[in-house]
Amino acid sequence: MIRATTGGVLKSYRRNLMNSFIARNKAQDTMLSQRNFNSYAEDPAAAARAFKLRKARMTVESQYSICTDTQKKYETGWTCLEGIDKLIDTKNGEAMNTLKGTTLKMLNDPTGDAREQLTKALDQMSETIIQNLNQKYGENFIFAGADGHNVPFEIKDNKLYYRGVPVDAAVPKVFDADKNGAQVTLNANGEVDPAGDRILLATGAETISKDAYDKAVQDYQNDPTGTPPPDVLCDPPVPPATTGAPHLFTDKDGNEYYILKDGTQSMTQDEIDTATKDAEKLKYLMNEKQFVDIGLGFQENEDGKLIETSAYNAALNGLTFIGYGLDADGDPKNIYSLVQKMKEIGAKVKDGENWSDADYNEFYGLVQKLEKASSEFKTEFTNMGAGTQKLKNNSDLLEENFYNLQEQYADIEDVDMADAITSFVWAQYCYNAALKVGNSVLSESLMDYLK
Amino acid sequence: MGMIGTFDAFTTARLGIYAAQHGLRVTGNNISNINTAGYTRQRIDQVSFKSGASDMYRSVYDNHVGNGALVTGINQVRDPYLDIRYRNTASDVGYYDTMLGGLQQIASILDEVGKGENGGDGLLYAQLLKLSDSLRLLSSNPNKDNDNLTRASAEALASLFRTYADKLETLRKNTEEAFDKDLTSVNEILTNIRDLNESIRDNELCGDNALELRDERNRQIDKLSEYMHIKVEYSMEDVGAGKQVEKLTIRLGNSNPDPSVTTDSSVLIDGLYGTQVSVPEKLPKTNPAYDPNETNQAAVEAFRYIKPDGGFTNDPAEAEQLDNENYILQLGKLVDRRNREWEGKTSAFQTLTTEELVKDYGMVLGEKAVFKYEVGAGTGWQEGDVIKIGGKDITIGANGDITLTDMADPAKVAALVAKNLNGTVDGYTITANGSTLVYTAKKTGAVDPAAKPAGPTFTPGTGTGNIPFTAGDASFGVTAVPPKFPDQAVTDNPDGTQTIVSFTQSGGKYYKVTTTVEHTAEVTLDDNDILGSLQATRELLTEAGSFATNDTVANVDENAATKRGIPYYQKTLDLLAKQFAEQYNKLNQGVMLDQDGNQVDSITGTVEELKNLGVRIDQAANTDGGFGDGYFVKADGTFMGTTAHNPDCALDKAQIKVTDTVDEAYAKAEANGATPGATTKEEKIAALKDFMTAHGVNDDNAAKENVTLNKPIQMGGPLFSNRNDGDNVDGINASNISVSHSWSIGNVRVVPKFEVLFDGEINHSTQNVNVDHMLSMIDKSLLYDPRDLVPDAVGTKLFEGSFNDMLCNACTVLGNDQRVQNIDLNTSYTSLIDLDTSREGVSGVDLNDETMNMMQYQKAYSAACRLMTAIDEAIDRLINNTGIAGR
Repeated sequence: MIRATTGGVLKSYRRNLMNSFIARNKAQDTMLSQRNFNSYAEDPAAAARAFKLRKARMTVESQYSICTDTQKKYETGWTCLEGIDKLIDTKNGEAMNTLKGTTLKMLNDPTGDAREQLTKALDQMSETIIQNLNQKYGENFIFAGADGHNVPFEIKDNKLYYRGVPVDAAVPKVFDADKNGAQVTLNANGEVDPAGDRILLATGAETISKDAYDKAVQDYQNDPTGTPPPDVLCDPPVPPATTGAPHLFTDKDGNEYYILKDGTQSMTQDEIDTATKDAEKLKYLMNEKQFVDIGLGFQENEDGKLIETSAYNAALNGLTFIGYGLDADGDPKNIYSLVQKMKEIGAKVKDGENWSDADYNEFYGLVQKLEKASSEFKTEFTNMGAGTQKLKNNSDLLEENFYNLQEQYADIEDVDMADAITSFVWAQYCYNAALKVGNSVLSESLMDYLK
Repeated sequence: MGMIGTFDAFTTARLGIYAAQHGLRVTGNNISNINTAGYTRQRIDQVSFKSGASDMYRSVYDNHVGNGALVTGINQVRDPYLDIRYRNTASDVGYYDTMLGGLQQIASILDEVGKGENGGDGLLYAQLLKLSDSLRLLSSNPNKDNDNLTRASAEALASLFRTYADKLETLRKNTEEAFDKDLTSVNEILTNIRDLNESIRDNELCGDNALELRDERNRQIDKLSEYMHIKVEYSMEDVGAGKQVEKLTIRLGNSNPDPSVTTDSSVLIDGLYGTQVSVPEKLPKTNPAYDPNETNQAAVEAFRYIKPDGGFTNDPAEAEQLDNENYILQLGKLVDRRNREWEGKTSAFQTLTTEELVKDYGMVLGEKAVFKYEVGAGTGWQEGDVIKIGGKDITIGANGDITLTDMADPAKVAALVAKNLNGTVDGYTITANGSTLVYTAKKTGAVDPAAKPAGPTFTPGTGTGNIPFTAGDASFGVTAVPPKFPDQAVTDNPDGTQTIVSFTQSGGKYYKVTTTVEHTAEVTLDDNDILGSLQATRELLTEAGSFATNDTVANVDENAATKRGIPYYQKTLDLLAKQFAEQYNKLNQGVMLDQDGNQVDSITGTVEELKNLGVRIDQAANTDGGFGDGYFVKADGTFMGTTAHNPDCALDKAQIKVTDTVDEAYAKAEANGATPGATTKEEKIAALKDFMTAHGVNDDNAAKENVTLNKPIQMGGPLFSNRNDGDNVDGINASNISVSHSWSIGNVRVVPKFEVLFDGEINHSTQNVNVDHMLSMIDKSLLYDPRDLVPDAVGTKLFEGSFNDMLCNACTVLGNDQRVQNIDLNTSYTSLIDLDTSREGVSGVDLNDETMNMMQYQKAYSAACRLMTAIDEAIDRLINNTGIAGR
């Protein structure tokens, strides 16, 4: 600058004073807002990063809420199952008031002094088990799988239904007469009749070879006081005969045999279809899942299907714990159904009467199966405990994550107060200095020295 | 030594006093104006005055002394180069400052840093996550309450979208108003400068420099330079009588990067003429193929505009008028204070040749009449004969006028006759050419044969000889005709100029004068012709970045794809809202599937049951007749018949649609058992209402009547629409996104799943597969393609990421844009400050400086006064006290 004019100096001073004031205000804003930046423009990268961290925190917060809710549902469910566990095994340390204790008592009481009472106790206990499984958490039924709004278990005619499906449903096994798919149809009288509408099931159908049967017939003819030959399925009688001839079957290998009549079961095609569909329903229900996002990554694959490991299956299916379907013997695997069957056997004879060996053996067999079902219950019960713990661990992790994220974006956003205050004080000092300079700028000129 | 005037020294002293007084006045004026904006310090032009000249025979001892000081003028101290630099930088500062201001206003809407809960979770940003929170809740527990919660979150989100869009639109409108005000200011400045030019010129003509007016003009030019990049030129203009005055011309500063564009140097001010800037609502559709250098007038390239019918024209009024969406500026005609238009004339003179005059303009050259006579040899003459010719006596002989011998020579006789006859015939000159006498008329023009001059004669006098005359060739002459020129011809040229052809005669010559007249014309500026704040406001109003169309990039601004104004951020928000609505609408609509993923063939239940399953059933509102109002329709728009009449429900069979007119619906109903024979519309509506009552499902029987829907059974419905009183999903954007009417009244809910298990025999009331899809959608990476919003957009990928990331990206882009503008502004502003300080250094008033001047002039004044006293004393000595010795 060749000349420093009064106007130029004043303009320059004004601008510098304004700059000083702006710097002071900026420092004041930083100090008061306690933020490193107040807009994207101040630091776009930091702002974007902070928003991402805030998003993560909000997501974690939401996931934490879902996780703890699920955890509480599991804890409530666990309490229900614990009650069942006690009913099965060790109620208040008194084994006698449990399912196991009661059944053992019945086994050990062949005279059946208190059979009726014990049978009633069994019935009540089994109903209590079901009631426990119909418990709610909040407004939803805990053990209803993906149908939390509806009561999962219903008992109709002493049969247990899960979401409208009989828990003992199984695909009926049709008797294969020639080992090549040939069905055996029976009429209403239980006779082998191609025109009959009932189909013989494999369950309970025992065969006897033609030679063995013939020998038994021959032996009985030879010694009428001996064991009579077993009843086998016969053809319809041809009048005037009142009984039909035993129906001889031949399998594809040419083996000839008869079917023992005792224990045979048959169903109409509609009944088979219904049972098959029920079994399919059960199968579907047992595979049903209801996923929730508890912070495991919740993501879908390219086909829009949820990656199951990225979510948590929060569906609790009551049947997982008390069993479902039939075993190879045609007996139920479900605890309730087993107890009901025991109850039926127990009810066959009155108090003080001995039950037959067959009933005893069957009851004993059912006790064995109840033991197995109880064992499976305990396994699932333990699994659920592990699941609850997993949820709790996850909640803890999310909580820790929440605070970590808060710290992380605070590190980006929050100002170092010592630094902010120092900056402000310095800016204020500069501004004061600028004001002071202004006073001298305005006061001095040659004019002031004229006489 | 030359003479010394006795009182000369008084003059010297007086001039000194005058000069000092001037100096004090100027100093006083400077000090007074020290705070006047735009004031340029003044100083006096002072020269040493010397009268007289050197004598030719000047003595070496004759020393001239000056006669004092003269103040020749007062001028300003100003550096024009600093002005140019200052104004160039001012337009940069204007541009960056306005652009940054606009971006900051956009940021005040979109930038969510520090806003929202928890000290800065954001608003829109957080609401997207709150929606995901609701969905997560709905996923864990799908029920009506959580559906309502989700809907409330969605409503809040849609409301935020609309609020942001509304604020951006308000900002755009405010910017538009600011643009109008800027234009008004610019036009005021242009008018002021033009009028100041005239005032300065008037002052100059009167010999005044008009310094204060120049200061004001400079101030106005400085202001103008903030609005646009300008180039200021000063030239001298001849005003006649050898007088020249300064002329100021201001042009646009040639700032368009496209070298082929010439409008970026259009004239804004030309001396007494000035233009005005405007933004026309409509602009003629330009011909992209136009080439100003095309010489073939019929070629497509020769036309500037395209007509509505696709034809071409050079008349903007005939062209198709398009909305001026780009706020293209137009410069008006250059007019003076009295609204007279500027004209520029240049003339070319062409001298016309005689041949051209005769051939092209009918000029006839005049000819003189000529009569010839053949003179024979004189015969029969004697020495001493005297003959009379032309009244003179001619003596023949050796001592006479002609010898006898010569008399026999016809040529000599002819010469003798001519000499004596010439002057005797009025109007003719008579000469001899050999033996031929030639009568030549003195003037051109035709001679009546009857007025032909009499031929040569002689009187024999004393002799008896003879001189024979024979009439020869006769030419009666031609009267001259001047050339006839056509009237002045004015031709309008394609480039807007006029050519005037006229003729003139000067100095006996004819000239063809071709004058080219340039008229002032309106100039439609190109997109990048101006810089400064006006351009920044335009760009804020128009620039759409990746959303710019290919047409814009090709024909308006090749850099349009990288410039971002309010429309860019509006469209970004629109694209986000559109993407969001589309994705969720898509997720919430589908067909009913069974447990194996196959479409369910049919489903039966009451309307309420089906609705609870998520099946799409709406209540009708007919636009024509209203005969089906309140009855339920399926997703395909057909009315729903009751199963009381299944399997052949008349209404199902009739397939009457909610969009059918009364006539169409009645025709279908009549064919299926409705009361026949209705003819008037009223009768048909009555019949249709009866038909609907008999066969249709409405609110009254929805709960009890079973209906059967067949494959495909539509489930769900749009969650978002373009108005909250309908379900129309067309053109959803940030300004109209709403929760759909059906969702808001509960006809549509978030569909948790599309499966119906085992024909509905198994419930799965808390199944949530579809909500999981919706939940994962929040974080799903999606492509944001500008062409989804603007089909002809130049950009193909705006961003790829989640909804939140997209919003974050828009703010990051905005933040970076602000930073760039801020840096540019700081750089240019610092330059401007430096330049202003420099200007102030040159032109500003300094108090110390002026105090020094004041003291200096005051001392000079005192000294001049002292000089006068000294001279007075000296002369007093000479006059009163000299030559009194011995008195």
